[in-house]
Amino acid sequence: MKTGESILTVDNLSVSFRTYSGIVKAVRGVSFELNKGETICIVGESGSGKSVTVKTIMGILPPSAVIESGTINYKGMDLTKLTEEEYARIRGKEIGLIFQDPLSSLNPLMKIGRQITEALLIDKEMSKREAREAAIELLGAVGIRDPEQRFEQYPFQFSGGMRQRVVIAIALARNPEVLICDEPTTALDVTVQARILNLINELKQKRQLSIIFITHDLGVVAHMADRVYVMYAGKIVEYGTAEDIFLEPAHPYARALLASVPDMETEGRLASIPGAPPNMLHPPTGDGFAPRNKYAMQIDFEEEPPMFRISDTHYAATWSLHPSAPEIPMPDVLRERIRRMKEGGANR
Amino acid sequence: MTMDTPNHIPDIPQEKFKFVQLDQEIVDSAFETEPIGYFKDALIRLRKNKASVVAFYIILVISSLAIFGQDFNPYTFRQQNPERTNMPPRVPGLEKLGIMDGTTILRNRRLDSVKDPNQFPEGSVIRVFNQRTVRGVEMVDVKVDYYKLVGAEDEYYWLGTDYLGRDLWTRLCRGTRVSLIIALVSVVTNIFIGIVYGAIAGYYGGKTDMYMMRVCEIINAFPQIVVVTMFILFFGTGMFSIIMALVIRGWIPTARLIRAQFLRFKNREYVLAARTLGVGDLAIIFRHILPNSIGPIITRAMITIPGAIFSESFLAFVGLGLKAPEPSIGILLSQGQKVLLQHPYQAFAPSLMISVLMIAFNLFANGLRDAFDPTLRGQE
Amino acid sequence: MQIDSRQPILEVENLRVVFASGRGRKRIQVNAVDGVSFEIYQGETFGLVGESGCGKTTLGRTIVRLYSPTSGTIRFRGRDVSGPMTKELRQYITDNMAMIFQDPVESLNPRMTVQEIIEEGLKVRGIKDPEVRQEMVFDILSKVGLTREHASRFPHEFSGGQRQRIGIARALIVKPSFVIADEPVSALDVSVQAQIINLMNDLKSTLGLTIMFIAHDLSVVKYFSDRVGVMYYGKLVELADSGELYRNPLHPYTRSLLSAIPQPNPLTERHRETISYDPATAHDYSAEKPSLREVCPGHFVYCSESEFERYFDRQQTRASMA
Ligand SMILES: Nc1ncnc2c1ncn2[C@@H]1O[C@H](COP(=O)(O)OP(=O)(O)O)[C@@H](O)[C@H]1O
Ligand SMILES: Nc1ncnc2c1ncn2[C@@H]1O[C@H](COP(=O)(O)OP(=O)(O)O)[C@@H](O)[C@H]1O
Ligand SMILES: [Mg+2]
Ligand SMILES: [Mg+2]
Repeated sequence: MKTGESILTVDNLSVSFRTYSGIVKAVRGVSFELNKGETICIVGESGSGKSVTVKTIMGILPPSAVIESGTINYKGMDLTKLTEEEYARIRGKEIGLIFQDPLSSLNPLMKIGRQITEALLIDKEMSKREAREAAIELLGAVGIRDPEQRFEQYPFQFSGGMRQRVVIAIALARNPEVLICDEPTTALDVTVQARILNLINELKQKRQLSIIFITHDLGVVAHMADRVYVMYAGKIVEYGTAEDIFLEPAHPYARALLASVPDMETEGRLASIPGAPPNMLHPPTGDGFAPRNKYAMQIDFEEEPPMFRISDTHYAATWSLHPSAPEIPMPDVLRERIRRMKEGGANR
Repeated sequence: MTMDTPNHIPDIPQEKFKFVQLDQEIVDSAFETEPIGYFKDALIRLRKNKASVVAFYIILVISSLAIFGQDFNPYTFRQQNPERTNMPPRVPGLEKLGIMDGTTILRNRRLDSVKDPNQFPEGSVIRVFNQRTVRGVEMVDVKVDYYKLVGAEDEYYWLGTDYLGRDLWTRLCRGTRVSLIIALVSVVTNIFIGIVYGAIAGYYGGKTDMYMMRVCEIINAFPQIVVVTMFILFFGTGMFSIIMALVIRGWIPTARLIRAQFLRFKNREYVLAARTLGVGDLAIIFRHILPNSIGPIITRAMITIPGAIFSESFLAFVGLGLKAPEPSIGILLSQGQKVLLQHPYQAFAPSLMISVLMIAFNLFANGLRDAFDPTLRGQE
Repeated sequence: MQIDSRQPILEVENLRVVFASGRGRKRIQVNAVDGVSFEIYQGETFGLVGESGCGKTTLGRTIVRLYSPTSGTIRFRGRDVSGPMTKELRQYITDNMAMIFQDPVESLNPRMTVQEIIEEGLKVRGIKDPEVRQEMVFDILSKVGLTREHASRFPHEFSGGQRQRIGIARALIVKPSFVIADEPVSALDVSVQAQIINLMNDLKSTLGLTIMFIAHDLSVVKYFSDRVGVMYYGKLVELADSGELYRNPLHPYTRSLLSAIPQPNPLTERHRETISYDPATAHDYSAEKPSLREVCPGHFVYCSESEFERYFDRQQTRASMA
C-alpha cells in the first residue's frame, strides 16, 4: 500500500439523502486511496453507493444530499470544504469524469467539435483556432477516424461507442490528472466495450492518468484494475490488489460476487447471492451482508467488523478473519476457478 | 491513510462465532417501508410546492363563494330596485377605514342644487371642490355619501349595485358559479371526447390514425370565432350552446395529447407483455395505458379551466353570452366596462375575480404537472 | 446432449422481417431479420447472441406474433403460426408461448400491484375466483423467491432483480410450454444475473419448459444454453452446440465476440488480445453467394463455398488432432 504517492485520499466519508420517506444512508464511512498512475476499481452491486461516492468527489451531489462526515484530500486540499468557484477550477481541469450514459452527457443540439472546444476554452489559455486544432487532435487520440469531418457532426450521427469516445475526449480535454469512470461501458456491446477499455488503458499510459474505475462487472475489473475496492451497502468491505481479490477473496460478499459470475469454463449450478440488497433507508447493523450470508455468525448481526489485515496490501472487514472464527469454506465454483487460475489454465 | 487497521484483535466471546442461519433458506425480506401509492406520492410532492398549495386554497375559497356567497346577504341576483341603482360599494367595518364606505364623487353639479336639502339631504355632502363657472352657472364636483343621499343609511351593498339596482356581490358570486360550471362541464366534455378520440387514433395507429388526425386538422382550420358565432346563431344563446361552443374545437388538443400518450405507451414492454398474455384491446387501453396517462390528463384539465373561463368571458364580452338576467363573469365585465368611467367599481370586482381565478388555476396546474412527473417519482 | 428424440417444437424457415418507414423517396427499409432459419427442440435451451440492433428482439417478438413476418414461415409443433392473425391463432399462441422481457423498469405496469400484474394472464384464461387466483399468485411468488407480502406492492419498490422475477412469474403462471426470454439478465448486476439464471434453470426442469434465451453476453449464453445461434445484422451467422461453438468458433464474427468477453481472471485478462471483425475485409462475397452450411454435424456457419472448404479443413485437422 505504501508503494505509490497518493494523489487522492478519501477518509471516512459518509453521505446521506433527505427524502420524505426518511434519511437514505447511501455512503457510510468509506475510505480509500488513489496512488499516482494506478487504476483502482470500485465494485459493488447497484445501490451500494459507488456513484454517490464519485459525485461527492466531483462536488455534484443533488441538493438533498448531505455530507455527514469525512474528508477528501486532493493535493493537500479538502474537497468537501471547497466553495463552488474553487470547485470549478478542480472539476474537469484536475479531475475528469465519464458517466455511464454517453447520450445524456452530450448536448444533442451542439456539434461534437463545439462541445470539445468549449471545454478547452474554459481555461482561456488558447485561441479559438488553437482550440479547434487541439480538439481535432483529441478526437484522433480517442480513435475517431476522419476527426476533421466528425468535428462538424452532431451526437445523433455517432454510434454509442463513438459517443463514449467523444465523452472521453471531452473529459480529457483539459488534461486532468485523475480520471473517474462511472460504469463507462455498461451500456455498450462487448466488442465496443473491449475497444473502449483498451483506449482508456492506452490513454492512461500516455498521459500518466490515475483512474478510479467503477463497475459491477468483475471481468472488466480484472481487465483494468491494479487495486480493487469491494463495496457493499455503503461501505468498503474488502480491498487489495487485483490478485489479492481474485485469488484470495476473504469477505463473504466478495466471494459470493466472484462465485456468481459464469466464465467460459463454468459448469454446474451458479452460486447465486440469495435475497436482495438492503434498503438504505434502514441500513443493516453489524456486517451488512450477514442477512444474505449462509455462514453468518451471531457476531455479524451485532457488531460491525473492523478492517482485518491479511497482508500489506490486502484488508477485509469480516468477522471470519477473527482468530476465534470457524473455518468458512470457499464456494465450490470459486475454489475450482482459483485453482485453474493458479495453474494458469484459465485462458483459452 | 487513516483506515482503521486494528493492531489488536478485538476480544469477543467464542460463542458469538456460531453460524446462525446455516440451514435456513434465505429469501427476500419483506419491505420495511410503507407502501406509497401513485396518488399519495404525487400529493406529497404537491404539498411541497407552496405556490400551488396557496393556489389550491384560493380556488377552494372562490368555489365556496360561488356556491354559498349568494346567500350571505338578503338580495338576489335578479332583484331590481330602481331606487338603488349604481350604488357604490359599502362594507360594514371597512367603511370606518375610509374604503368601500359608500362614498362617491359626483361631477359637474350645479352648486345651488348641492345646497338644496331636498336633493342633497343633511349630512350627505362630504366635500365640495373644483368650483368653477360655466356659462354663468356655478358648477362643482362633490364627494357624497351616496347611501345618505338616497336615504339608505341602513343598507349595505358590499360591491355596490348595477344600473338596475341589482346587488353586485350576489351577481358576482352567481356569475362565478355560472362561469365555473360552464368551464368545468366544457372541460370534462372536452377531456372525455379527447380521451376516446385520441385513444382510438393512438392505439390503432396506421390509417385509422391518419384519417382521424386529418379530421382534427379540418375542424381546426375554421376560425374559432366564426364557428362559435354560427353555432350560437343556430342554437340560440344559453348555457348549452356556450358549452358546445367551447367544446366544438376544445377537445382537439386533449385528443392530440392522449394520442401522443398512447403512441408512447403502446410499445412499452408491459403493454407488449399484456398482449402476449392474450389481454384484449379494451383491457389494454383501460388498464394499461390510460391509468399511466392520468397525470397528464388531470394536469391538462386544470390548465384548460382558466382558458375556458376566459373564452366564456370573451364570448359574453362580444355579446354572445347568456340570456339576461343570468350573470357570468364575462357579462359582469362587459356591463362594468360600459360604465367604467362613471362607476369603475362595477368592472373592478369581476376583473379581479377572473385574474385571481386564472392565476390560481395556472399555478395549481403547474404544481400538479410537477407532482405527476414520473421522473421525480419517489424523490424529494 | 440428453435430447435424443430431437423433436423440433419450433421451426423457423427463411424468416424475414422488414420495417419500413417514410414514403416515396424517403422510404427507408430496415431488414431487421433477414432470412433466418433454425429449429428449437423440445426441452432444450436455445441461446441467441449478437450485438444490439442485430435483430434478436425482432426475431423473438415475431415468433410470438407481436410483429408480423414479412416472409418465411414459423411452425410451432408443426402448426404454421406465421399466417394472418385470427382470434383462434392468437389464442393458440398465447396458450403455448410466453415472453420474458428485457427491461426490469419498463416491463411492469407502474400502476398495478404485483398481484394484479401476475394474475392478469389468469383472468384472461377465465379463472374468475379471486381467491383461487390469489393462491396461485402466492404459489408462483414463492417459486421465484418472493413472499406473499410482496403481492400488494407496486413495482417501483422492488430492485431490478426482484422485478425481473416478477416478470418471470407473470410469464410462467399461465403454464406455457415455450418461453422466449429476451435479454432477461442484461440490465441486471452480474451478481443478480446468477440468481435469475438459476431460477430459470430450476423452473425449466420443474415445468418442462423449452426456452429461447436471448442475450448479448456470450459467457451467460454459453453457460445457460444447449445450443447457441449467433446473429449479425439480421442474419444467423453461426449455429452450434454451446460447447462446440466456444471450443471451435468458425465465423470471424463469433471469434471476435468470444475474444471480447472480459473474464474474471486478472492474470490472463490484462493481456487479452481482442480480434476485431470487419465484414468488408473478412469476406469476399462478390463471386459466391453465402448461405448457412453445415460444417460438421450440428454446426452451421454462414459462408460461401470457398470459406466452407476452409472451415471444413480446419474442422478436419482439429478432429484428427484430438
Ligand atoms: N438523489 C437521491 N435521492 C435519494 N437517494 C439517492 C439519490 N441518489 C442515490 N440515492 C440512493 O443512494 C444509494 C446509492 O446509490 P448509488 O451511489 O447511485 O449506487 P451505485 O452503487 O449503483 O452507483 C442508493 O440506495 C440510492 O437509492
Ligand atoms: N418497430 C420498429 N420499427 C422500425 N425499426 C425497428 C423496429 N424495431 C426494431 N427496429 C430496427 O430493427 C433492427 C433490429 O432491432 P432489434 O430487434 O431491437 O435488435 P436487438 O434486439 O438485437 O438489439 C434495428 O436496426 C432497429 O432499429
Ligand atoms: Mg451508479
Ligand atoms: Mg433487443
